[in-house]
Parts: sequence; structure tokens; C-alpha cells
Amino acid sequence: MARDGEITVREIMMSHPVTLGPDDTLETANDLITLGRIRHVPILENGRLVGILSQRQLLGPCVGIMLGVKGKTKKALLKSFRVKELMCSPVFTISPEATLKEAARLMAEKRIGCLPVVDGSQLVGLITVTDILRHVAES
Amino acid sequence: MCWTRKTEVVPPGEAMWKGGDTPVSEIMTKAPVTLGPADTLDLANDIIQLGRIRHIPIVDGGKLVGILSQRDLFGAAVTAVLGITGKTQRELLRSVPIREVMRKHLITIHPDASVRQAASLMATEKIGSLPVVEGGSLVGLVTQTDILRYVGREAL
Repeated sequence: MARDGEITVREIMMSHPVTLGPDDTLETANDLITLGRIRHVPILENGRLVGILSQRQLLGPCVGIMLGVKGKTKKALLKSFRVKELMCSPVFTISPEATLKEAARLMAEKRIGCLPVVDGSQLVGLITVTDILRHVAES
Repeated sequence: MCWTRKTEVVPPGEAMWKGGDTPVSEIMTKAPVTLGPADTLDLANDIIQLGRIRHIPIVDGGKLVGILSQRDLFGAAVTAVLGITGKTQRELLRSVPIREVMRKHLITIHPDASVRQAASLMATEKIGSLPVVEGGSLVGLVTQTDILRYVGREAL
């Protein structure tokens, strides 16, 4: 929890991140990641956070998948997979009242680029390594 | 330069970053693993997997000539795989020299630059690491993880 004067996650997180459902296709996820220039998409099912999909997960398994598949375009391949097959689950999350320092430590320790911000069971935001870099840069 | 931990409580709303002036040389990895441009991607892949690192500076005759990231490796593999079938991923990686996929447009930083400048460069250029260069030679590597660890350690 934040001590007096410490920056909290709430102050630098992005509110209302774009989300997808577990049954959306990788094609939709790929479009979202490419067009939105984002790297991480929280996955919600009935309002509950069930996973996170990152650009990294999208690229990695594609290599393996494509090795076994012939005569399909990348687009067709992506369309044939659902988000739930590749998303990372369970997910490390953080409270909006946690300090920036705690968020940074958790990301470094777990080697992750982003943390969904969860208040109770509600997704309220997303904090990424880029948000933390910007904060350091603007300090 | 020396930065000391601030211990007194700062009133809410007046919190200020005290440590962004710390030089990059204090948080960088001093002897990063490097490879040469003629080395192949399977070697790079092994190093990235086993060393749990994401970025390898590519050095030729003592001079920094490129950087290879985990992301570049994925990209190369995807492209290669789409055009070639009947080869294992490892054989594929072995057939590609690093110089073909490394990034040659290098954004580097000086060891005396501040952590703040390093963070700014990484955020604006959307890159995960900066080779640290002094007098033409590679002296270290600073990554997003180094900056996260630094933020996690130091008072804000």
C-alpha cells in the first residue's frame, strides 16, 4: 500500500483498456494489436479477468504452429485459433493503490511487460513498462 | 555521482522523482553477452533461452554493428517458416546468419547519460534496450528491466 508521497499505480495506469473475450479469434487480436499499436490485451469473460494476450504470445506459438501447417496463409491460420488457446493465464495483477515501486518490482521479477490493475474483481486499468518509462522520463 | 535514498516523507501531491539523474553506468549490465554478425540464429536462440535475456549486441572487430532481440528472432522465424516447409525450427535458425535479421539502425547511449534520458529514449523509440557506448566501444547494455529494477529499488 502507498505511503504518503509515493506515486500509486492509479496515477499512471491507463484506464479503460481495450479488452477481448476468450472466444475471439487470434485474427481479431492481431488486428487490434497491430492497428491499436498496443502489446497487451486483457481477456475478460463475464466481466471477470481470465487472461492476458501479448504480442509476444501471438508471435511465439505461430512459429510452431506454422511448421506443422501447409498451404494456409497467416490470416487463415490466425482465424483458426481462439484467444483462450494462447492467452496467458492465470495473470499477475496489481491493485490501483499499490505503489509504482511495487509495480516495477513485480514486473522485473516476473519478467512481464504489463500488469492488469484490478480493484476487487473489477478490471480498472492496465499499467505497462512503457507507462513506467514515461514516468521516469518526465520526472 | 552518488544518489542517496531520500528518507523523509514527502507530502502527497508533492512527490518528486529524486533519482532520475543517476548515470546509466550505475544500472547497466557491464559485460553483456555479445555475438558476431556471421554467427547463426540457432546460437542466438540458445543464448536468449538459456540466459533468459532478450537482447544481444552484435560486435564485429570490437565495433558495435547491430543488435538482435528476441522479437527479431521471432519475426525471422515466422517469415522463414512461411516460405519453407519440411525443416525443423532449429535447422531453419541455423541457416540464417545474424547479420540478415539484426537491427543495424542503432540507438545507443553514453554511460554518463542519466537514467531519465535512457527511459525517455526507450519510450519514444519503443525499444527494450540501449547499447551503452563510449569512445566507439561497447561498455554495457541497459534494458527496460534494469530501469524497472531501479524504480523498484529507489524512492520516488
